[in-house]
Amino acid sequence: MEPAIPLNMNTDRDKGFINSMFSSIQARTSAYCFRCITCTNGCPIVLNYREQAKEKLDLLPHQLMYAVRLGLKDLVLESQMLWLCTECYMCTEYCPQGVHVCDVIYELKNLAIKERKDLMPRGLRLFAHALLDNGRTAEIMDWEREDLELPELSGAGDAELQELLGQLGLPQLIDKEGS
Amino acid sequence: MKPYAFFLGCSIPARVNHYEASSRMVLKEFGVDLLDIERFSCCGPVPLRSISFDMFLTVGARNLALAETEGLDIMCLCSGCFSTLSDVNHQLREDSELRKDINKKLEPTGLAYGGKIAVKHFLNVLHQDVGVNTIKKRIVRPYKDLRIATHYGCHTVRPSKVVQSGTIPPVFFDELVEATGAESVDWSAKASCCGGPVLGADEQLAMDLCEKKIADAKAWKADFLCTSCPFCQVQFDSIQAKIATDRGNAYDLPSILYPQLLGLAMDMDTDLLGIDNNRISLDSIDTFF
Ligand code: SF4
Ligand code: SF4
Repeated sequence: MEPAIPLNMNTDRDKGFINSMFSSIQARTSAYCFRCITCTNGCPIVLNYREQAKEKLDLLPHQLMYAVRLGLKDLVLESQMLWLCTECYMCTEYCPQGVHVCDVIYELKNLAIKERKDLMPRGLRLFAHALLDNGRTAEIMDWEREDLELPELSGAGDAELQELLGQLGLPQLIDKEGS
Repeated sequence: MKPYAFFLGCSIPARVNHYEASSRMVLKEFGVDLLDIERFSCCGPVPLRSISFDMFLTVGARNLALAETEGLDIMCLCSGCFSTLSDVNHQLREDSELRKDINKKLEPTGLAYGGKIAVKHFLNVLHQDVGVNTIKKRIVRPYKDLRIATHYGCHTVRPSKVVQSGTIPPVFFDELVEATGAESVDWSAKASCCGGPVLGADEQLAMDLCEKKIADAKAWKADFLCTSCPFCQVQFDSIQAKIATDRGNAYDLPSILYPQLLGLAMDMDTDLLGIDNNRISLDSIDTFF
């Protein structure tokens, strides 16, 4: 069987990556991982793909946690597991070592988007565009609200959110044209 | 009782308006007042956290700060909004450095986060503030022999340290369902994910997760699924309909929103409860009174 993590790690290890990951409270918890595989065994995405899990997801949750600790940056950031995680928190809830597995995955996605724009999935890009263009993720069904006698929505918050996200640099982060 | 700052989010007004309509009706009956805050925005949901933790915290903190200026706790209908705002509240309360940092980013909005309010889910408000016994007293048409597959939704109950869901496994939703006379059945896939969060990333995967849950509920002989989140409801309603067309697997297991289930047992107006707004018809519920 091929080892999931390359055994000769000297060339691929990235110390800067380990240090940057371990500067956040959540990510630091990955250091407590003792590879019991509880997270992976309870992960609905891994269970869904069964034998094909490694092929579809690259690194499984417990492998991600360990690879972070080893500083295998490219292997981690290019792993499909990051983008198919459904954020169900099963892993985090049942990890006996208190590793915030799901939060570490979030952090890895942040890093991937910051450093490797090519890794950002289309769905996430569309989401960011919707927030920047409309201040909300989906269009209001006004006629249905009228039928159900629901109050009209003014959109005051939407406009303020658009402005705030502009100030926070979301357009630059996703390379939106005109930003 | 103090009113709650009512947090609607974006998904409900776009897809599941009947969740809001039925919830408002039920809460009114129990004397729970809601304040609509015009300046509330999108909660800053999980995809935003995937993009940037700082932006996620800042957008959440802005919404929390708005409720703070009114001196009110927040009530969410959507489990996604509930999870986001609970999480931001938790992170900023725990970490004073982070709070300082985020408050700096909020400065241009004229708002500041102080960590003074609580975030509750609609189900928590019904269970903790109204109480199961009060609800039982208001049931005029109790269900008979109705088997419900109660679906909590991941973000209503996990991580338990952040959302404080009480017992593990949680029981509050089962108790609310059973208050109507229905039976909340055991089913293997009860705690698992509906697939909603990956719908944008991989539709087939979202359908796989959804189909597994529906098949399991069916195997445990449930008559209906019951939800309390717009994403879960869309999965079990519209996506179930899509599974039937695309994959030829028709389970015919309708999903009812909890306030609809409760409202019908309280003999409320079916039009205003939005009973006809579901994709998969709820009509068969009439046979269980
Ligand atoms: S459950 Fe926790 S300790 Fe076990 S492998 Fe996963 S992260 Fe590591
Ligand atoms: S949060 Fe993600 S990694 Fe963890 S169990 Fe759920 S899908 Fe798997």
